[in-house]
Amino acid sequence: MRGTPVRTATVVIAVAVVVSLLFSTNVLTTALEHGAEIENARLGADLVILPPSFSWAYSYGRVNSSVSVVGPTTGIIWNGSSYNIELTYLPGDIVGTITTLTGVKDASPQLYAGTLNDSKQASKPLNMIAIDPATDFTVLSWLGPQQNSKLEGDQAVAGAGTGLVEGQELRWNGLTLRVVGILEPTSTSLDEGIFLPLGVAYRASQAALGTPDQFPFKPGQITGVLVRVEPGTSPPVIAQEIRPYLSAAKVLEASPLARTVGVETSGVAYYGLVVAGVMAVAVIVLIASVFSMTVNERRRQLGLFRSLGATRLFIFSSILEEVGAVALVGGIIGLGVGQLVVYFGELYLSAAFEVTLLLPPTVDLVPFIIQSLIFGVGIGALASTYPAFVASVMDPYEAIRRGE
Amino acid sequence: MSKYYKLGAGTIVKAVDKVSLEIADGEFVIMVGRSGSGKTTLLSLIGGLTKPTSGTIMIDGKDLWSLDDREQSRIRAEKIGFIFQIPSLITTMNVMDNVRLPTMFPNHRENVGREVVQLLELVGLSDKVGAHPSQLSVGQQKRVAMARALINHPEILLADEPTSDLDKATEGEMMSLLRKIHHGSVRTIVMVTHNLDLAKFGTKVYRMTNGLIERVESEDLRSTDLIGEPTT
Ligand SMILES: Nc1ncnc2c1ncn2[C@@H]1O[C@H](COP(=O)(O)OP(=O)(O)O)[C@@H](O)[C@H]1O
Ligand SMILES: [Mg+2]
Repeated sequence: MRGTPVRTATVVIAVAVVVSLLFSTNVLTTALEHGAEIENARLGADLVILPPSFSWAYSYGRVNSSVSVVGPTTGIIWNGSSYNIELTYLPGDIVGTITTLTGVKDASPQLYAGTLNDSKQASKPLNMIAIDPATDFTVLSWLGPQQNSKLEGDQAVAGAGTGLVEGQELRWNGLTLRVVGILEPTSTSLDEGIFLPLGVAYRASQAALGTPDQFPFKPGQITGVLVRVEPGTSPPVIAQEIRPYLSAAKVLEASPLARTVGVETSGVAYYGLVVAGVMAVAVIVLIASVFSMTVNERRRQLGLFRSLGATRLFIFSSILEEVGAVALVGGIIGLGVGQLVVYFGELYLSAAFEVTLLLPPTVDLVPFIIQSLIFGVGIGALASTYPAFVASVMDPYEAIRRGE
Repeated sequence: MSKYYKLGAGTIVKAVDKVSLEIADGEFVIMVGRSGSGKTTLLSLIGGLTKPTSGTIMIDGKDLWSLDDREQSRIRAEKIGFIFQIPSLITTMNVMDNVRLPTMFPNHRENVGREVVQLLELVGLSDKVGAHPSQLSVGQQKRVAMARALINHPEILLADEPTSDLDKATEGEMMSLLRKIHHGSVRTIVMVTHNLDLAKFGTKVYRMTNGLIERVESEDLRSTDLIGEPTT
C-alpha cells in the first residue's frame, strides 16, 4: 500500500522537521547545561572566611568571585605604613560546622602553605596552596575536560602561568611533588599557584616540627574556607548566618556576579520544547488529514480486503504500520537535519550569548537519537489512529461501492 | 431481513425489503431482476459484507452479526467466496498475488503457489500468473476473481453477474466453469444474473423486484421481467 509520492513526502518532511527540532533542542540544551555547569563550577566561592586579624593580609583571587586564598610573602603596605605580617590561622574543624548549615552548598578549606622560590625549578616565586581535593570546588574544576580531576598522594596541579609542565617533579621543603595537571588560564592568582593536598602539607609540617620557617602552620590549621551557597540563596544572608558560629573569623562576600547563565539556558530549552510541542500538534493534524485522504482513496481496496477476510485489526494495524514506516524515514532524515541544526546552533549560541556549550560525546547522543525516533514514529502512530480507525470500521460493501 | 438506505431528506430506499430466504446446502441458486432491484445488496447481505438494517443472516445456524470481527472475517475468508460485479482485482498486484490475497487473513497460509497455479489452470489462465490486471481482458479478470474466490476452498460461492460484459462464447465458458465447480469443491452457489437464458442452470430461481423477492420457475420468466437492462 502506497500513498501518492507527494503526500508521503509531505509527511516525511513534517516528521523530519519536528524530530530535528526536538533532537537539536535536546542536544543543544544539554550542551548548554554542561557548559553552564562548568562555568558555574568555575564561578568560585560566594563567601570567603578568613582569620580575624590581618584578614586584609590575605588577598583573594577572583574570576567572577573568589577562587583561592593567596598569602603575602613579605610585609604589606597599608595606609602608608609597612607591617610585618604574622600569619594567623583558623581551626580546620570549622569547615564541618559550616557545611552543615542550611543554604550552604559547598565549603572547602584552603591553606597558604608557603612559597616555592627556586629559580632552578620555576622562573618566579610560586604560591604553594594546600587544598582539600574531596571538597574543592574552585581549583580542580579548572582542569580541562580530558584531565582527571583527582588529586591524591604527593601530587600537585599547577596554574597556567607557572611555566610548569605535567609530569614534572617539584622539590620543596623536603617534599617531592609530582605535577599531574595544569589548570586552564584564569587571569587570576590561580595561574601563579601550585596546589597540593592538605594532607601532604600537614604531613610535611608534622615531620618538620620545630622548623617554623619552613612550615609556620600546624596540622589541622587552615587559612580560609571558601563557601558556595545553594542556588537561589542569598550570600549575604548566609554570611549573616555563619558569623555567629565564627566569632573569631571574618566572613567576606564575593562579588555577586553572573549566576544568570543557568536561567538563560533554561529559557532557550523551554522555548525550543514549546515550539517542538506546537509543531508536533500541527504535524499530527497534518498527518491525520493526509492519511484520511489516502484512506478515502483506498476505500475500495480496503473494502475488498475486508470482503476477502481481512480483520478490522489487520486494516487498522497495516495503516498504523505504513504511517509508522513513513514517520521512521522522516525521523531518520530529521536526525540528520537535527545534527546540522546542532552544529550551526552551537556556533550561533556561543557567538550571540557568549555561553559555553559542551556537546555531549557521541555515545551520550544515543538516548537522544532513540528518544527522537520514538517521538517521530509516535507522532505518526498517534496521527494515524484516526484514519486507521475510520478505515477499519468501514462497511466492506459500502467501501467497495463508494470507493473509486 | 431488510436493508434500507437513507437518501437525504426523508427518502428511504428499500434496497432489500423484508426478504426471507433459506438456501440449502448443495443448491445452485440463480437470482434475476432489474437493475436496481436489490440483487447486489442482497448478495452482500448473504456474504456478510454489509449489516442488515433489520433481521438476521444465519450461516450454519450462527447469527453472522452476533459474531465478533475475527469470526466474521474468518467466515468471509474461508467459508464464502465472493465474485464481485465490478472489477475487483487489486491493480497494483499481479495475478498470483491477487489470487492468494485471501490466504493472508486471518489464518495466514504459506506456500499456496501451487494451489494458485492449479486454480489458474482450472479457469484457463495458467499462463498469466505474473500478469497485471491491466494486461488482462474483462473476461480474464473475472476468471482471476473466480480463482481468488476459490483459493480458500469455500463452501459457498456468491457470484454477482459473473457473465456480464462477456461475449456469448466467454459467457458459455464461465457457466460451464461454474457448473464444474458446483460439482467439485464448492457445495452451494448463489449467482446473480440478468441473462434469463442462464436461469435454467439453477436448482432454484428467484426474481427480485424493488427489494422484494419471489421464487419463480425458469420457464415462467419472460423478457419483460428485465426491462431496464443493462443492469448496474
Ligand atoms: N450504499 C448505498 N447507498 C444508497 N443507496 C444504495 C446503496 N446501495 C444500493 N443502493 C440502492 O439500492 C437499490 C438496490 O441496489 P443494488 O442492490 O445495487 O441493485 P442491483 O444489484 O439489483 O442493480 C438501488 O436503488 C441502489 O441505488
Ligand atoms: Mg448489482
